Amino acid sequence: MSAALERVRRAGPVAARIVGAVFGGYALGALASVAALALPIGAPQAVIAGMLASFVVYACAVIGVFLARSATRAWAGLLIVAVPLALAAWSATAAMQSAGGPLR
Amino acid sequence: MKPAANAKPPRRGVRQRMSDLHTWAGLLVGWILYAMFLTGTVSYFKDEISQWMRPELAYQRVMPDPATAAQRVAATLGAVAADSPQWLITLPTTRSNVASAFWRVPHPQPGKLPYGLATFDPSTGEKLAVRDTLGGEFFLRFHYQFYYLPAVWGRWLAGACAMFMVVAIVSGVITHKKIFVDFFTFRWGKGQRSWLDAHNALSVFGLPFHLMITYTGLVTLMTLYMPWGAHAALTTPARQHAFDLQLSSFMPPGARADVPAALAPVDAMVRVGEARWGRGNVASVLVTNPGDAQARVVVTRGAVARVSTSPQYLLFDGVSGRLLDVRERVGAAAQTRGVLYALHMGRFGDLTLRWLYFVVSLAGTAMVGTGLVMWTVKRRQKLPDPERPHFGFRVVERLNIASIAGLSIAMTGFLWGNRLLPAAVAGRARIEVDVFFAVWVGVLLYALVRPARRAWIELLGLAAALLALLPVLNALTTGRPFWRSVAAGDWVYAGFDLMMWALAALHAALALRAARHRPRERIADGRRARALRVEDA
Repeated sequence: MSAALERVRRAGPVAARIVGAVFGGYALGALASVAALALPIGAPQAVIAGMLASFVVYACAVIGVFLARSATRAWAGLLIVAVPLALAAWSATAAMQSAGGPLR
Repeated sequence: MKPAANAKPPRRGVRQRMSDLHTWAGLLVGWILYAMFLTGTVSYFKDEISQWMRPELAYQRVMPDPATAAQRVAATLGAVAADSPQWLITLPTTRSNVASAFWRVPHPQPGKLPYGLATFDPSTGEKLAVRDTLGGEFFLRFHYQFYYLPAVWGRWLAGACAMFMVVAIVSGVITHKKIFVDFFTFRWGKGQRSWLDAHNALSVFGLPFHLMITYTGLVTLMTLYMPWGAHAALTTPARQHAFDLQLSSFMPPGARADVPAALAPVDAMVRVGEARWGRGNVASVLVTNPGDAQARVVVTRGAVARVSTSPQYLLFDGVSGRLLDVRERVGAAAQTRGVLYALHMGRFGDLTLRWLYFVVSLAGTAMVGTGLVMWTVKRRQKLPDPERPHFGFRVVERLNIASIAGLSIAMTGFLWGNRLLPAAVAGRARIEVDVFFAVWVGVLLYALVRPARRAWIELLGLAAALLALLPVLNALTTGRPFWRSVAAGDWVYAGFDLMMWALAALHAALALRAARHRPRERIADGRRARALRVEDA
C-alpha cells in the first residue's frame, strides 16, 4: 500500500510534466496561433504567421516544462503564458466573427 | 546516519533533466524517426529512383517539350476522364521522364476511389504501358504518411515524431556544456565514448540543418496540425479561398455552365508560362470543368531556380484560351512559409546542392541511429547480468536491429521486387510495397530469435550483399548493365549502380566492425570466471 503510494508520489510529478509538455504545450501553440490573428496584417497572413509560430511556441513550452524546478512551477508557467494569449485570441476571434467583411 | 528510505529523491539539475528529456524523447520515437530520416534522405533523388524503377523508358537525353506533353496528356484525359470536373497534369522535367495526372471521378462506384491517378509517356501522351510501380514516390509518401494507415493518421504520427525530434534536438544542445569542444573530440574504439562522440559529431556537424529540416517538415503540413487560427478566421468560403490561394494554386472547380464547349489547346497556355518563367519551369496544368463553357486552366510555375514554393500561376479561360489572371505574389507570411517549404524539399537547387542535402540528411539519419544504439551501449554495462538483460532492454535492442539493419534490407528488397516481379501481374505497384513490408517484418522476426550481436552482423552483411548484387540483378533483368550505362553516358543508371556499391561498402564496413567488436561484458565475464576458479581452488 505505502509502496504503491510511494510509487505514485515519485511518478506523479514526472507524469504531470509529460502531460503538461505534450498537451499543455500543444494548447499553448494553438492559442498562440489564434492570438496571431490580432496582428494587423490581414487575416490570411495572420493565420499563416500563427501557424508558423505555433510550433516554435510548442517546442519552447515543452523545453520550459522540463527546465522548471518543479512540476507545479511548470504548470504555473504554462498558465501564466496562456492567459494573455487566450485574451488576445478571444478578442481577435470576436473581431473576426463580427467584421465579416472582405479580407485584405 | 543513513537517510530514511522514503526520503524525497534528490532534485535533478537542469542539465540532468534535459539529458533525460533528450534520452526518452529520442528513444520513444527514435525508430520511426530513423525511418522518416532515411526515406526522406533518399527522396531527394526521388525522380532518379523512379527512372531506375521504370527501366523500359530509355535514358532521357533531352527533356521532352513540356507544352507538347501537356497537350497530349490533356487529349488522353479528354478521352478517359471527359466527365471529370478536375484534372491535374504534372509535366516532365529534366529529372523526370514521365508526366502524371490526377483527376476527380464525379460519381465513384461504391468501394472505388473518388479519384484517378496515372502516369503517362510524354512522347505519346498515352498511359504508361511499362511495369506498374510507385517508384521513388513510395519512399516520399512513407516519409510523411507511412503506408496502410489512413493518410491523415500517418501524417499526424509523422508530425508528432517531428515535434519529438525538435525537442530532442533542443534538449540535446542544452545538455552539451561544451558543444564546440565535443565536436573536435573523437575517441576511437572506446565503446560507449566512441558512440557518444560519433553521435555528437554527426549531430553538431549538421545541427542547423537538422533543426531546419524538422521545423520545415512541420511547416509543410501545418494546416493539418494547427488548423485553429484558420477555423477562427476563415468563416466564409470566400475567405477560405483567399487563404488557400496563398498556399497553393490548386483550386476547386467553379460552377459549371452545363453548356458543352471544346477545351482550348493547353500547349499554348504552357508556352505563355514558359515565356514568363523560363523553359521547363512550368510544373503543372490544372484543368477545371473540361468540356464545359466554364472551363478554366491554371498553369503553375515550378520550384526550380527560386527559393520559395509559394504559388505563382496564370489563370486562363479554358474555352477561348484568354489569359484571365496572373498571380506571382503572395503576402509576407505566405512567402515565408513558401521559403520554409522550399528549404525542406530542396528542389530549387542544382545537382551539387541535391548531393549536399543527401549527405547531410544521411548524417541526420546516422545521428538518430547512433543515438538509438548508444541507449543500449550505455546501459549494457550496468545490467546486473549482461547475458540476460531485462525485457525493456531486449525490446530496444531488437527494435534497433530491425529498424536500422532491417530498413536497409527492406528498402533494397523493394528494389529487388521491382526487378523480379512479373511485369504484367495485377496490382503490381501495391505488391512491390507489400514486398517492402514483408521483408521488414521478416527481418524483425529474425532479429527476435537470434542473439543480438549475431543478428547485427548477419543482417548488416545481408544488406551489403543485397545492395552489392542489385546492379548485377539489374544487368541480368534489363538491357542496361553498368558498362553500357557508362558507355552511353547514362549517369542516372550508372550513378545508381555506383551508389548501390557505395552503400554496400558502408554496410559491409559496419558488419565488419560489429564482428570485430569485443563487448566489455566479455572481459567482465572472463574476470568473473577467473574469480570463480580461484574460489573453487
